[in-house]
Amino acid sequence: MAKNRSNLGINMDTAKDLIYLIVLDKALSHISHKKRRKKIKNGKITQEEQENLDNLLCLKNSLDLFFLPNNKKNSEEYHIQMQKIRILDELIENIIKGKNVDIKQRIEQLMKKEGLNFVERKESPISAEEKFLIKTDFHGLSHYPSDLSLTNFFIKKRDKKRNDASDNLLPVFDEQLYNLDKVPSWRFIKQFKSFQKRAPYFIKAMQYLNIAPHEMKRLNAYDMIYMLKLYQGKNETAPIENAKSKFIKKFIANYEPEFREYMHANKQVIEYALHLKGIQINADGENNNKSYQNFVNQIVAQMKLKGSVPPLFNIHHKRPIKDINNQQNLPLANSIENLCLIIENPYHTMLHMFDTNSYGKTIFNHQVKRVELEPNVIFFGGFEKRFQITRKKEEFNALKNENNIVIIKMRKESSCKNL
Amino acid sequence: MQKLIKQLKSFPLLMTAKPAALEDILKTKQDLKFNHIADFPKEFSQFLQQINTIEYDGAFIFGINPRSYYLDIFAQNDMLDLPNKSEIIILGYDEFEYLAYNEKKQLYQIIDKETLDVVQTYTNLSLAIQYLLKIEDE
Repeated sequence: MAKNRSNLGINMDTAKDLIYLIVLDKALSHISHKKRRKKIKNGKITQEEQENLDNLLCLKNSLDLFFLPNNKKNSEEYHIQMQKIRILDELIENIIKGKNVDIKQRIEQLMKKEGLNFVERKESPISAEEKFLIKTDFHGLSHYPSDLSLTNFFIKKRDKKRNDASDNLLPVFDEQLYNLDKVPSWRFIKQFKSFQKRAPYFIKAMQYLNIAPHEMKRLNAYDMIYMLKLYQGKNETAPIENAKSKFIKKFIANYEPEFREYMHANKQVIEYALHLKGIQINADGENNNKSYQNFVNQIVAQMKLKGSVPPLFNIHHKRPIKDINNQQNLPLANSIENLCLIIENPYHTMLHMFDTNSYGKTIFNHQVKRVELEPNVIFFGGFEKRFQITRKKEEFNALKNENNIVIIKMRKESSCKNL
Repeated sequence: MQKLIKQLKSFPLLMTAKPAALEDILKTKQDLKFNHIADFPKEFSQFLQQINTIEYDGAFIFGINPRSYYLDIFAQNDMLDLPNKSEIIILGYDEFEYLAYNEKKQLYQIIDKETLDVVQTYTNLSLAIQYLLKIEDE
């Protein structure tokens, strides 16, 4: 991430990023269709709200300063920057005037100007069981599946065992008699390496619950995962590492210097994002730079140790589960290829604003679309390329060898036309 | 609930705002009512008075945030284009699911974001929060 400083001594990319955070946060706040009761009732705005509007007006008047390049008056870049200024100007105007109708459209225009692609969604039906397995692979086995999803057959077996005092009886059926392929959902479960490796645990749990080999076909995916958790709990085996933690650990192992540089270069942006949440990291009156450094160190330590998603960020699935279209390879949904660490507000929110909602209703022109990040982007900290991290070539090659055909297929499908 | 709050406060980097004032909670409840959005239960109000908004390991719990739409329970529910808003209020989310409160049924529900299927129900807020934050079952 090369430094780019203007004559003013301000890092212009960071300044632009801060402007985006300020304006887009306000824009998203104004997107709702209704207004708060107090505003409608009084017809007045508070002093704090007036200050916010004054600040926005001030920002509106200084967009040229931050967005226009000094020495490229005739270049294509100049015109693109001018278009961004126009959109931002209109966006701020709408916010100030309280006109909510065009805000989403302006945000879409801005995202397109910043190089984000809007692609058609190619959804395929996915069963609740398949989805459940993808979710469990992503989050891990923290909870037992709900009884709402378990089969009655399994609930009866489980409850019988719960009420049976003779907990330590030897299994009735021999281990050799169990063939997991007889469980209908096993063809999905075994696709996940972490579950497949634990095949003996499923069998032991079945023995424990006195599920006969000929009864295996009655089990669904929820029953199976329930048994895996049950076995793990009873035997205190090592927990299964979830895809989310694996991704974060791998990310920080490979890109710690880049991540630290981003956090350092964007200190003002991160601090403003924290301010929007009502959090001050130097609330105890400590030196600001020192507190910030400690904050970053703590984040990195937790990422390495636990694979925790850092505060203010989230993990984005570049292709939604329904768009993967590959029943033979469900783990693809949570593959490193498909995940990206992203700032939650405003970027992740904006990316999902254009998804089809649950009734199939879409936001614009009744088209079914979503925003697509470039396949190699592994970190999205802002529109500017220097605030994004793309996968290193050698790491990508390793991944390619690991998943081979699947990745190539995904790449081909993802190169949809812009709408 | 107190056990959960104590546990949450011990988490490293649990990003949470200043506890919500009762007055702000009541105002937000009025805003929700005025806009025909379901109310949140007393238990959640009490929670917000101790822990106002949570952002933890990719999971988010709403609260009262006057500075931004972000994690503000009113703004987020107003923005979301979901059915039965007069019966169900969203209290938080993760990458795949919403944590909701069904005021009519007086139940906490875990709802799939895409299909809106209810995948889990709880009568107790602590358990519902534990589910969303992936705090292990005991």
